[in-house]
Amino acid sequence: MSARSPTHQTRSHRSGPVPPSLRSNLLVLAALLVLLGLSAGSALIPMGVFNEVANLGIAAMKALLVLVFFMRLKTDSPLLRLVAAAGFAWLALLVALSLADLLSRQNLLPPW
Amino acid sequence: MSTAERIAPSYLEEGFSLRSWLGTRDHKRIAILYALGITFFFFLGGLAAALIRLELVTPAGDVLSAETYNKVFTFHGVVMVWFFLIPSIPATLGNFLLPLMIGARDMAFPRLNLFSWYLYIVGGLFTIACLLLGGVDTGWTFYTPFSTMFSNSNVMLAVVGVFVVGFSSIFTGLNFIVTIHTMRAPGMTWFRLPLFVWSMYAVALVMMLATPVLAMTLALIALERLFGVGIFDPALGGDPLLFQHFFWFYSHPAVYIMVLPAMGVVSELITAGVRRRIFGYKFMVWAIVGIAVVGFLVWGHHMFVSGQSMYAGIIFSILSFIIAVPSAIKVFNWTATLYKGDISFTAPLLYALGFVGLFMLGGLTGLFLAATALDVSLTDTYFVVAHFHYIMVGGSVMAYLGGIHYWWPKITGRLYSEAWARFAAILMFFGFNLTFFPQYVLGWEGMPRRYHEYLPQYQVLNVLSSAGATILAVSYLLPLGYLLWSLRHGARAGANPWNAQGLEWTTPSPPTLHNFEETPQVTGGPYAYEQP
Repeated sequence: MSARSPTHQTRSHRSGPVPPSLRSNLLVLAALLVLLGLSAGSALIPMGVFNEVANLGIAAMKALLVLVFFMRLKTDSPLLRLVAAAGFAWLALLVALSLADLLSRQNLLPPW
Repeated sequence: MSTAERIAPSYLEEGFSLRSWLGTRDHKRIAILYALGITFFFFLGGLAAALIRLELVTPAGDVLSAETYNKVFTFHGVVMVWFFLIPSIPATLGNFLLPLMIGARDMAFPRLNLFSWYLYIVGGLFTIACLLLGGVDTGWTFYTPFSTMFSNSNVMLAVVGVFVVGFSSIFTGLNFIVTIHTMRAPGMTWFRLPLFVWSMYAVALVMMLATPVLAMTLALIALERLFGVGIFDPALGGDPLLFQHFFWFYSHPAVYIMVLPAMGVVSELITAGVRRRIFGYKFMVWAIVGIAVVGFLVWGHHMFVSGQSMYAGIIFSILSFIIAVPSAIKVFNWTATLYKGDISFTAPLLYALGFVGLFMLGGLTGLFLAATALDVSLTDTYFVVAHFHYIMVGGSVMAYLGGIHYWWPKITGRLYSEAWARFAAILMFFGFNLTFFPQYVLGWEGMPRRYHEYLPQYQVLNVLSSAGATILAVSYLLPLGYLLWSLRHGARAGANPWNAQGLEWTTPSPPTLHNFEETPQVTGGPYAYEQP
């Protein structure tokens, strides 16, 4: 995979950034596996509500690694980064306004 | 007008075999394929509507059983929303016109464009299979827990059909965005784009950002229904309101997927019909973008009485009022464009004016429903049914038909009978109001929706509504007749029969395979009608 010849790259129609090297891919893979181990290991340590916090934090880091390196956002154009960010912003809208409901719900007792 | 002289054969003459159509990558032919598909589904959904109106002529449930009635209105909703309204303007007029309007040879991804059409057809086949195997009775909204725990009808078939057609939407949106970003002709800057292109851009963004949430929601229904995974079922730790949040996060923006393209069409129709530059071009652009963005923030107004918290209700109510602002800007600007215009009441302009009036009525009654206190009594009544039909049918369908009339000479190279077209447009306006205005009154008086029986005091208005539906049906069949007639007997259209502005009118009618003989150079903004 890494041994892409220069001719291949010049012939490519892709106008985006140069693909990451094998070394970079392997490093990110290793980081993802370490984070996976941490995620699984954290289940064995009782931290109460912080178990969830830790797991969500680790998941966010994994997602970020995939976005930045595997999906090449680090080296791609600002427009593409904006598009990716918009996807997250919209997801944040969905979560935030749904939580606006969930977190402010009150159990209304029947009037009788 | 040298580019309009025919040098190559038109896109219709590029091949006559079935294979040349089903394997085409030409955006114009794909638009025609979509047009055939959505016309079929429009009349199929219309047939279901006819059954509903027939049942409601009398207070007793004497034509359809309660169960069948549920299935008929569900089928009507599913077909009309996903197989007609959502793809109607973008997939037909958008596909046909977008490259022409920006001076491009085709879409950015022609194969993906064709693939989108096949997905649309596959989704449609699932929906028809669902109907033939007994139908589905959940309503087009697939509300849980009924859809996941209780309904014995073919929920999964309908869900798969909608899931598949959703991807057709996503790919069309992707194609539009990339095309507009990368394939504009030299000189076609963002603020020289016709408003129709802006509306296609905005709608493509909405399709891309909202439709994946629908796909995810439908997948979750499948997970819960088939495997008992607790997502929405409280007994399994789920939350039924979560479904409504997810569903309306897609489905309210979906209303704007239906109406934004209509607004784009109407801007073209009005400027050409009154021979005036659009009033406040930049305001119109920002209004389109504003509606697309704020349209994502109002979904909770569908949930005021479903158990959503009061505070969330207040937030969504305020946001829903806010979205009326850009909508009003558009209505005012269309009206201002008419001022001192050289108005000729051609059929496309009649449709466009019909749109403005009906959209305004639908929009203003939306404000009634956005008011939380009033919504408590109006939820699930015919007031809501009337409101959204004014937007979707009065708005989108009128604009779609207006657009079809306006660009028919470009698409087919033929002229239709203007007299018949004007008659149909006026009849449609009359039939539409007779069908749906009584439903406002019925809803205000408290008649609930989705029942096959009703109290006798509601009969007069229901009979009026059903009578209107008959007129409406005739007015929808008329264009089918005279437009098809024109294909064989209509006079040949020149390149620019309306003497309109826009790059699409500089090409021959019908255009050649690659649209332009030479890449056009754009030197000014759109709608330059008043130049001496």
